[in-house]
Amino acid sequence: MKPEKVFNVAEYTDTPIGRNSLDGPKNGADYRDNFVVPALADYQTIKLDFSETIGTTPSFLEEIFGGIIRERILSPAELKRRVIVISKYESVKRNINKYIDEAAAKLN
Amino acid sequence: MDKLALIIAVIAIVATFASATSASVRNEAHQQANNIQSILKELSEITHRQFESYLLLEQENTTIDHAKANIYEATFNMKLDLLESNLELLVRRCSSMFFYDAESPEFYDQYIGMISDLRNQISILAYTAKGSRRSILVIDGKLTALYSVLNHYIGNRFRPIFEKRGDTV
Repeated sequence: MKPEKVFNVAEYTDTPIGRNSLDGPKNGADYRDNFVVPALADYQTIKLDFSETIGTTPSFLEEIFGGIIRERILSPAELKRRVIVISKYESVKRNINKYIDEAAAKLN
Repeated sequence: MDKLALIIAVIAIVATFASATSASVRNEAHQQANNIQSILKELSEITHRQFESYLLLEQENTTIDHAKANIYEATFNMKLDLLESNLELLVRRCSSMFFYDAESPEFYDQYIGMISDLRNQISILAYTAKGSRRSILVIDGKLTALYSVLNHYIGNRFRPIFEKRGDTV
Protein backbone atom coordinates (compact mmCIF):
# COMPACT_ATOMS: atom_id res chain seq x y z
CA MET A 1 0.00 0.00 0.00
CA LYS A 2 1.33 3.42 -0.96
CA PRO A 3 1.67 6.03 1.78
CA GLU A 4 -0.42 9.02 0.72
CA LYS A 5 -2.54 10.60 -1.99
CA VAL A 6 -3.72 14.21 -2.09
CA PHE A 7 -6.95 14.89 -3.96
CA ASN A 8 -7.49 18.43 -5.16
CA VAL A 9 -11.29 18.46 -4.87
CA ALA A 10 -11.49 21.45 -7.26
CA GLU A 11 -10.40 19.10 -10.06
CA TYR A 12 -13.65 17.17 -9.49
CA THR A 13 -15.83 20.25 -8.97
CA ASP A 14 -15.05 23.83 -8.04
CA THR A 15 -18.36 23.99 -6.13
CA PRO A 16 -18.70 20.94 -3.85
CA ILE A 17 -22.45 21.05 -3.30
CA GLY A 18 -25.01 18.33 -2.71
CA ARG A 19 -25.39 14.97 -1.12
CA ASN A 20 -26.49 12.63 -3.92
CA SER A 21 -27.71 12.48 -7.53
CA LEU A 22 -30.88 14.42 -6.55
CA ASP A 23 -28.55 17.40 -6.16
CA GLY A 24 -26.84 17.02 -9.52
CA PRO A 25 -24.18 14.84 -11.17
CA LYS A 26 -21.32 16.10 -8.98
CA ASN A 27 -22.15 15.27 -5.37
CA GLY A 28 -20.75 13.86 -2.14
CA ALA A 29 -21.92 10.29 -2.70
CA ASP A 30 -20.42 10.19 -6.19
CA TYR A 31 -17.11 11.59 -4.96
CA ARG A 32 -17.04 9.11 -2.07
CA ASP A 33 -17.84 6.07 -4.22
CA ASN A 34 -15.71 6.88 -7.26
CA PHE A 35 -12.67 8.64 -5.79
CA VAL A 36 -12.29 8.29 -2.01
CA VAL A 37 -13.30 4.66 -1.46
CA PRO A 38 -11.26 3.25 -4.40
CA ALA A 39 -8.20 5.19 -3.21
CA LEU A 40 -8.54 3.71 0.29
CA ALA A 41 -7.62 0.34 -1.19
CA ASP A 42 -4.31 1.71 -2.49
CA TYR A 43 -3.23 4.41 -0.04
CA GLN A 44 -2.71 4.50 3.72
CA THR A 45 -3.70 8.16 3.97
CA ILE A 46 -5.89 10.29 1.74
CA LYS A 47 -5.98 14.07 1.93
CA LEU A 48 -8.98 15.90 0.50
CA ASP A 49 -7.82 19.39 -0.33
CA PHE A 50 -10.61 21.99 -0.50
CA SER A 51 -8.22 24.96 -0.78
CA GLU A 52 -9.14 25.71 -4.38
CA THR A 53 -12.88 25.11 -4.23
CA ILE A 54 -15.45 27.90 -4.02
CA GLY A 55 -16.50 27.10 -0.47
CA THR A 56 -17.74 23.73 0.66
CA THR A 57 -21.05 22.51 2.04
CA PRO A 58 -21.82 20.29 5.02
CA SER A 59 -24.10 18.07 2.93
CA PHE A 60 -21.24 17.22 0.53
CA LEU A 61 -18.82 16.52 3.38
CA GLU A 62 -21.33 14.62 5.51
CA GLU A 63 -22.14 12.34 2.62
CA ILE A 64 -18.45 11.47 2.18
CA PHE A 65 -17.58 10.92 5.84
CA GLY A 66 -20.93 9.85 7.26
CA GLY A 67 -21.44 7.68 4.19
CA ILE A 68 -18.18 5.78 4.71
CA ILE A 69 -19.36 4.96 8.24
CA ARG A 70 -22.91 4.08 7.16
CA GLU A 71 -21.54 1.79 4.45
CA ARG A 72 -19.21 0.24 7.07
CA ILE A 73 -16.17 0.79 4.86
CA LEU A 74 -13.97 1.99 7.73
CA SER A 75 -14.36 2.27 11.49
CA PRO A 76 -14.62 5.81 12.93
CA ALA A 77 -11.07 5.65 14.31
CA GLU A 78 -9.66 4.40 10.99
CA LEU A 79 -11.54 7.05 9.03
CA LYS A 80 -10.26 9.87 11.27
CA ARG A 81 -6.74 8.53 10.87
CA ARG A 82 -6.77 7.77 7.15
CA VAL A 83 -8.87 10.51 5.53
CA ILE A 84 -7.83 14.09 6.26
CA VAL A 85 -9.51 17.29 5.11
CA ILE A 86 -7.41 20.29 4.15
CA SER A 87 -9.46 23.46 4.63
CA LYS A 88 -8.70 27.02 5.65
CA TYR A 89 -11.69 26.97 7.97
CA GLU A 90 -11.47 25.50 11.43
CA SER A 91 -15.26 25.17 11.74
CA VAL A 92 -15.33 22.99 8.60
CA LYS A 93 -12.58 20.71 9.95
CA ARG A 94 -14.28 20.43 13.33
CA ASN A 95 -17.50 19.30 11.72
CA ILE A 96 -15.84 16.30 10.06
CA ASN A 97 -15.39 14.53 13.39
CA LYS A 98 -18.99 15.33 14.22
CA TYR A 99 -20.26 13.72 11.00
CA ILE A 100 -18.22 10.60 11.72
CA ASP A 101 -19.31 10.35 15.36
CA GLU A 102 -22.98 11.00 14.60
CA ALA A 103 -23.07 8.43 11.80
CA ALA A 104 -21.36 5.88 14.06
CA ALA A 105 -23.81 6.59 16.89
CA LYS A 106 -26.76 5.93 14.56
CA LEU A 107 -25.28 2.59 13.55
CA ASN A 108 -24.99 1.39 17.15
CA MET B 1 17.81 68.77 35.43
CA ASP B 2 18.97 67.30 32.13
CA LYS B 3 18.26 63.81 33.42
CA LEU B 4 14.74 64.79 34.47
CA ALA B 5 14.04 66.25 31.02
CA LEU B 6 15.34 63.08 29.41
CA ILE B 7 13.12 60.86 31.59
CA ILE B 8 10.07 63.01 30.81
CA ALA B 9 10.85 62.87 27.09
CA VAL B 10 11.19 59.07 27.13
CA ILE B 11 7.93 58.69 29.08
CA ALA B 12 6.17 60.99 26.58
CA ILE B 13 7.47 58.98 23.62
CA VAL B 14 6.41 55.66 25.17
CA ALA B 15 2.97 57.03 26.07
CA THR B 16 2.46 58.40 22.55
CA PHE B 17 3.48 55.09 21.01
CA ALA B 18 1.23 53.09 23.34
CA SER B 19 -1.70 55.40 22.70
CA ALA B 20 -1.28 55.25 18.91
CA THR B 21 -0.94 51.46 18.95
CA SER B 22 -3.97 51.07 21.17
CA ALA B 23 -6.07 53.33 18.91
CA SER B 24 -4.93 51.42 15.83
CA VAL B 25 -5.85 48.05 17.35
CA ARG B 26 -9.19 49.37 18.56
CA ASN B 27 -10.07 50.85 15.16
CA GLU B 28 -9.13 47.72 13.26
CA ALA B 29 -10.95 45.46 15.70
CA HIS B 30 -14.08 47.57 15.40
CA GLN B 31 -13.77 47.45 11.61
CA GLN B 32 -13.64 43.63 11.70
CA ALA B 33 -16.53 43.53 14.17
CA ASN B 34 -18.55 45.75 11.79
CA ASN B 35 -17.71 43.40 8.91
CA ILE B 36 -18.90 40.41 10.93
CA GLN B 37 -22.12 42.21 11.87
CA SER B 38 -22.76 43.05 8.19
CA ILE B 39 -22.31 39.39 7.22
CA LEU B 40 -24.68 38.29 9.99
CA LYS B 41 -27.27 40.76 8.66
CA GLU B 42 -26.85 39.39 5.12
CA LEU B 43 -27.24 35.84 6.41
CA SER B 44 -30.50 36.79 8.09
CA GLU B 45 -31.76 38.43 4.89
CA ILE B 46 -30.99 35.46 2.63
CA THR B 47 -32.53 33.12 5.21
CA HIS B 48 -35.76 35.11 5.31
CA ARG B 49 -35.93 35.16 1.50
CA GLN B 50 -35.32 31.41 1.29
CA PHE B 51 -37.76 30.27 3.94
CA GLU B 52 -40.47 32.74 2.97
CA SER B 53 -40.42 31.10 -0.46
CA TYR B 54 -40.76 27.73 1.35
CA LEU B 55 -43.88 29.00 3.14
CA LEU B 56 -45.66 29.12 -0.21
CA LEU B 57 -44.53 25.57 -1.01
CA GLU B 58 -45.75 24.44 2.40
CA GLN B 59 -49.19 25.96 1.76
CA GLU B 60 -49.36 24.36 -1.68
CA ASN B 61 -48.01 21.08 -0.26
CA THR B 62 -45.32 20.86 -2.96
CA THR B 63 -41.72 19.77 -2.59
CA ILE B 64 -38.70 22.04 -2.53
CA ASP B 65 -36.51 22.76 -5.52
CA HIS B 66 -33.23 20.96 -4.72
CA ALA B 67 -31.19 23.28 -6.92
CA LYS B 68 -32.43 26.32 -4.96
CA ALA B 69 -31.73 24.58 -1.66
CA ASN B 70 -28.19 23.72 -2.86
CA ILE B 71 -27.54 27.33 -3.82
CA TYR B 72 -28.86 28.62 -0.50
CA GLU B 73 -26.72 26.15 1.47
CA ALA B 74 -23.63 27.01 -0.62
CA THR B 75 -24.19 30.77 -0.39
CA PHE B 76 -24.76 30.62 3.35
CA ASN B 77 -21.59 28.57 3.85
CA MET B 78 -19.50 30.88 1.67
CA LYS B 79 -20.62 33.81 3.78
CA LEU B 80 -19.70 31.85 6.90
CA ASP B 81 -16.24 31.30 5.36
CA LEU B 82 -15.92 35.05 5.01
CA LEU B 83 -17.17 35.57 8.55
CA GLU B 84 -14.61 33.08 9.85
CA SER B 85 -11.76 34.86 8.08
CA ASN B 86 -12.90 38.18 9.58
CA LEU B 87 -13.06 36.49 12.97
CA GLU B 88 -9.45 35.32 12.62
CA LEU B 89 -8.31 38.85 11.78
CA LEU B 90 -10.23 40.24 14.74
CA VAL B 91 -8.87 37.76 17.25
CA ARG B 92 -5.32 37.93 15.91
CA ARG B 93 -5.34 41.70 16.25
CA CYS B 94 -6.91 41.71 19.67
CA SER B 95 -4.57 39.02 20.99
CA SER B 96 -1.47 40.98 20.08
CA MET B 97 -2.20 43.92 22.37
CA PHE B 98 -1.38 44.63 25.99
CA PHE B 99 -3.57 46.39 28.63
CA TYR B 100 -6.42 43.91 28.77
CA ASP B 101 -7.05 40.41 27.52
CA ALA B 102 -10.68 39.43 27.01
CA GLU B 103 -9.89 35.71 26.86
CA SER B 104 -9.43 35.70 23.11
CA PRO B 105 -8.65 31.96 22.72
CA GLU B 106 -11.84 31.07 24.63
CA PHE B 107 -13.87 33.50 22.54
CA TYR B 108 -12.39 32.12 19.30
CA ASP B 109 -13.09 28.54 20.34
CA GLN B 110 -16.68 29.36 21.33
CA TYR B 111 -17.31 31.32 18.12
CA ILE B 112 -15.92 28.59 15.87
CA GLY B 113 -18.17 26.10 17.66
CA MET B 114 -21.19 28.32 16.98
CA ILE B 115 -20.24 28.67 13.30
CA SER B 116 -19.84 24.88 13.01
CA ASP B 117 -23.28 24.40 14.52
CA LEU B 118 -24.82 26.95 12.14
CA ARG B 119 -23.27 25.21 9.12
CA ASN B 120 -24.90 21.95 10.19
CA GLN B 121 -28.28 23.48 10.98
CA ILE B 122 -28.44 25.06 7.53
CA SER B 123 -27.61 21.80 5.78
CA ILE B 124 -30.59 20.19 7.53
CA LEU B 125 -33.15 23.01 7.34
CA ALA B 126 -32.40 24.01 3.74
CA TYR B 127 -33.80 20.76 2.42
CA THR B 128 -37.22 20.76 4.05
CA ALA B 129 -40.18 23.03 3.45
CA LYS B 130 -41.87 21.83 6.64
CA GLY B 131 -41.89 24.25 9.57
CA SER B 132 -40.44 27.16 7.60
CA ARG B 133 -41.45 29.72 10.22
CA ARG B 134 -39.63 27.73 12.87
CA SER B 135 -36.58 27.43 10.59
CA ILE B 136 -36.43 31.23 10.28
CA LEU B 137 -36.62 31.55 14.08
CA VAL B 138 -33.94 28.90 14.65
CA ILE B 139 -31.48 30.54 12.25
CA ASP B 140 -32.25 34.07 13.44
CA GLY B 141 -31.81 32.88 17.02
CA LYS B 142 -28.37 31.46 16.21
CA LEU B 143 -27.37 34.63 14.33
CA THR B 144 -28.52 36.73 17.30
CA ALA B 145 -26.33 34.61 19.59
CA LEU B 146 -23.37 35.29 17.27
CA TYR B 147 -24.09 39.06 17.48
CA SER B 148 -24.40 38.89 21.23
CA VAL B 149 -21.19 36.92 21.89
CA LEU B 150 -19.26 39.24 19.57
CA ASN B 151 -20.60 42.34 21.37
CA HIS B 152 -19.68 40.84 24.73
CA TYR B 153 -16.15 40.11 23.55
CA ILE B 154 -15.60 43.55 22.03
CA GLY B 155 -17.09 45.14 25.14
CA ASN B 156 -14.69 43.27 27.41
CA ARG B 157 -11.69 43.64 25.15
CA PHE B 158 -11.87 47.43 24.99
CA ARG B 159 -13.22 48.08 28.45
CA PRO B 160 -11.01 50.64 30.24
CA ILE B 161 -8.64 48.81 32.55
CA PHE B 162 -10.00 50.55 35.65
CA GLU B 163 -13.54 49.23 35.04
CA LYS B 164 -14.69 45.95 36.55
CA ARG B 165 -15.86 43.29 34.14
CA GLY B 166 -19.55 42.46 34.17
CA ASP B 167 -18.95 38.83 35.03
CA THR B 168 -16.65 39.58 37.99
CA VAL B 169 -18.90 42.07 39.80
